Amino acid sequence: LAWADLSLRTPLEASTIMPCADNSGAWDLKIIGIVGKKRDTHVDIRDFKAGDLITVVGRRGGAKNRVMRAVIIRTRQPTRHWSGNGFEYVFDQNAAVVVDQDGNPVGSKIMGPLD
Amino acid sequence: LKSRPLQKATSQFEEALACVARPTSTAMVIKTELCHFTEYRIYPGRGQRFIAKDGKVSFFITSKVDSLFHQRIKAVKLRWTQAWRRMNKKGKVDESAKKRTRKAAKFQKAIVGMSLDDIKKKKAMKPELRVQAKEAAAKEAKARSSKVKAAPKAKSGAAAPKSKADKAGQKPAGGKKAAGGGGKNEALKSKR
Repeated sequence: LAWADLSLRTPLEASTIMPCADNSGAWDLKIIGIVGKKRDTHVDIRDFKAGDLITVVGRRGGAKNRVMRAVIIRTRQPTRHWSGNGFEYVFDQNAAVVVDQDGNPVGSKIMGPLD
Repeated sequence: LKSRPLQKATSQFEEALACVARPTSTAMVIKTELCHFTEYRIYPGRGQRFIAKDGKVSFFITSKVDSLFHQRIKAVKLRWTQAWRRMNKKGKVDESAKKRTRKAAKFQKAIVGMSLDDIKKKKAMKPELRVQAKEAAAKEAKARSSKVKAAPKAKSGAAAPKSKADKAGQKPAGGKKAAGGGGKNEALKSKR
């Protein structure tokens, strides 16, 4: 199966475009890779949790074609509830917030619920 | 609960502790949620929470319910949901909502010949006394009527033929009147 052979898939093609949840100027963000991991690692939104640092390319808006870092806020993937009760929760959309090299947010407002 | 480390202050653990502290209750209290669609109780480990873009949290008990919600199907329209049942008034009957029948206030009115006080006095009187009073009154009435009958028998004899004559006189007058009235009416009717 073609999809099972990860070497065939380039990280860029398998990545997700998700909206930027702050007012930093970027509108859609496309995941390129994970910060701290190898360049060619396969990237899949299902592997991410809220709070992961990722590298991202702006697709629309002021930051188009600019490689930046971002922190994931919401994922559509069901995550276990923090209280450990066994409840799961799910968001409506994937979203991330643009962040600079030090980890400080670039925008001043974050829109929507946080995880 | 025993496997969970003591350092973690989870809500469930705290609740359980609280239960243990109370001497009476021994059962563990589990926080359950209510499904936003079907209103069934969701126990931990079952179902899912959905957090919308605006931050609204909805609980769904199954993926079926979750799917229905996303299709924007209203719970009120589905026969098996509690919302439908409430709309169609199935199940429990709310007694407080029943209309209270209004009772008209009855009060005793004074009758011609007897004032309100007299009526009340009569009511308050013992039944035996009342019977006695009734009998006495009846006797009186009889005595009066017999006296009345005895005295003007001659009078009544004279009065009877008089009344007959009067009646005869009255009839033709009434007849004339009737004829005149009838004629008038006929005229009116022809005009119409």
